[in-house]
Amino acid sequence: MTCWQRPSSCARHDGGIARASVLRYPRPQMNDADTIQPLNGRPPYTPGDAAAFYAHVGSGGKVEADDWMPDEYRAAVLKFVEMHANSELMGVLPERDWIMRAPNLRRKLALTSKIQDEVGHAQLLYRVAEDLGKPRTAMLQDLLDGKTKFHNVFHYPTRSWADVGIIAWLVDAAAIVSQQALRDSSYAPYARTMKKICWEESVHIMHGRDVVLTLMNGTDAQRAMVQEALDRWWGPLMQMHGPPTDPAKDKDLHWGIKAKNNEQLRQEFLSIYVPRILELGLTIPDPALRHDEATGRWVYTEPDWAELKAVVTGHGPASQSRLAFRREHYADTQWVRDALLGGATAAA
Amino acid sequence: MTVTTDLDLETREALAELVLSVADDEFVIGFWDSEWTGIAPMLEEDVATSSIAQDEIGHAKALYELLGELIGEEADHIAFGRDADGYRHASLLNHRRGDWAFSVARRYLYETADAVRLGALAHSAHEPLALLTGKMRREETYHLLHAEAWLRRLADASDEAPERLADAIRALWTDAQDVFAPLAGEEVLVRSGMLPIPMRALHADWQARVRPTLEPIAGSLPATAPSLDGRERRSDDFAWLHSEFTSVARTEERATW
Amino acid sequence: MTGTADRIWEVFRQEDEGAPMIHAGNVNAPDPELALHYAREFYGRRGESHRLWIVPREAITELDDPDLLKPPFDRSHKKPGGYIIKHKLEAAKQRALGETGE
Repeated sequence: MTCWQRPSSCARHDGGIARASVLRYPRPQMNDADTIQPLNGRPPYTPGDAAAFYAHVGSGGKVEADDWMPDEYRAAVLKFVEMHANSELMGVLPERDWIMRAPNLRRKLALTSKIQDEVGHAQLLYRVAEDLGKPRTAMLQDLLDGKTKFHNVFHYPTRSWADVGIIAWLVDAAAIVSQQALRDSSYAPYARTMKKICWEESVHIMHGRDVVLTLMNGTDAQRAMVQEALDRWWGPLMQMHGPPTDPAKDKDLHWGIKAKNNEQLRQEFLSIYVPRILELGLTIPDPALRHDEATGRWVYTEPDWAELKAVVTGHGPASQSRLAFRREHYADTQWVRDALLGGATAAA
Repeated sequence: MTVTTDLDLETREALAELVLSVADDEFVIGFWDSEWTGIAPMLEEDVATSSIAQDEIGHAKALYELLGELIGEEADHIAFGRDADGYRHASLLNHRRGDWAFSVARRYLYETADAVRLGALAHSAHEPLALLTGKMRREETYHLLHAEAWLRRLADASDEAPERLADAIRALWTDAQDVFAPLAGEEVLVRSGMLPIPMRALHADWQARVRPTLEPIAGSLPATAPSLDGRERRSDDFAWLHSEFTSVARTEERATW
Repeated sequence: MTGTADRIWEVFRQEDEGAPMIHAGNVNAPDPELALHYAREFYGRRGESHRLWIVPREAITELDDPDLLKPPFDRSHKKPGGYIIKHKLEAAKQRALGETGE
């Protein structure tokens, strides 16, 4: 079995933070007569007791990197965080081309800074995942080999400067709706990272909105550019939070890894952003989209879930070209990692 | 204190050339190094290199603004509005970023040269320039530390790293001199104190400083002087860069982005 | 796990002059110099920190044993909340008033 499925043999626990060496004696067995001091109103769980662990996380309890956790939970968090990390790393690519084409000095600074932040987010998230037991090299290799996924929106090409605005404003907004919910994740290192990421993303959204507003206040050609970009990005945006899931079967929800379900996130996104899009005079390319006053919910044309599935499994318009790009550059810089970090296991 | 309106035409034109040369150097190297964003060898290093590139763009912006006050033009128009042969960066910056060793070598050569240049300009008789230079030098300290850190690590590594680095240094050496290429109106600049030390003296100082570090890595380096057209020669690589950074800006002249 | 020379460094930051050093996150770096540069990048590039501490992860010892940190016996005498004087104070004040009134 690989490291991340067998925590006791994981290098992280060998080479990680040392447990206090003064504790030479095993914990005494507790019996029912003991007065158990609850921590934060919740009874502590014994390492090995999965039921108690799930009760702990299900009632708002937190987990740290070197706490005991059931292998299932560890694997679920790792998968979730790894996909998030992959998405940040791949998310760099759609906008990266425009670093060289930013049309003025301030935009050049802002866009480079934003993309730099996304790389930073990848680092933060790979760090969280690595501390769960999977080495960064392995994660990067799995991504490049197409074995792990990244979010749908990063599988599409960008075509104009307006895409830069739309992505930074609306794609980041849709992401932040998920990310804010994750600040309460049961897995504490992830929750803490999400707080930092959300703070940084809020700047990106302002940059994106500023770009869009400037274009909308500009020439007819600039306005048309924005509408055209929105027409292309609306579909992927609506698919971004994923199809509605059955809450009863959603383990990530039960275990507190995430706090809201897909449909809740999409509704939240629509509530905030549809009015903000329409007030600029833009048209949203879904004639069925409306807010139903009676139910308080947004009604919309059902997104193409088949497209979503195809895209995230590597069949999006830019999926293969982007992975190839990453592979090429990763290979080109292998000698640097070898020089600095040593050996065939050197990670990025 | 020297105020722009006090300057006679000759001095003002010479000063404009000087400021433009520094601004274009920062602008172009900032662009090349920003290309590493997202594809640098390690994630942590990616963020560091991007910061340094952004600093350079920030310095270029401030310099273009200072220049804009001298010649009555907007910074963005100066930055984005010229044809490729209107740029006055040193030929060192004509090259694409190359591989990591190439970028490390170029950055080291540039940062050390820039440090010498800024050291002189910090005492410029043109106070706005002196003040701006002082600010820039504070950020450039980090750039120097980082450039030296990478130069040493590649030079001291085993396998291909030292050779890649040595090749890059040798390939860039001649063009590196051109950071100190003579400027039009340099006599006026030196006489008026705008440029307190002439370029050839700064050049000699810089060469003396970097030889002891570079020669153990790259072998003996020739005592080349800067070329007369060192800030006018352009390359295909730069032509590509120019077409990229003007591609959106030029779609609508004077439009707001 | 990562490269042979790759290490993990914990970063602590100070929000403002005089504020406590708070754990902010961690970076991978092969040596202390690059660890410093990267800590600056991740926790200071926006000018958001007044000070940083960069510590190799292996220098940290963790204690999380509840028997040591949350032991079962009453320790309220060690905290301000363990001294409830409201009623006694009321009683003392009342008595003092009563004596004066006589």
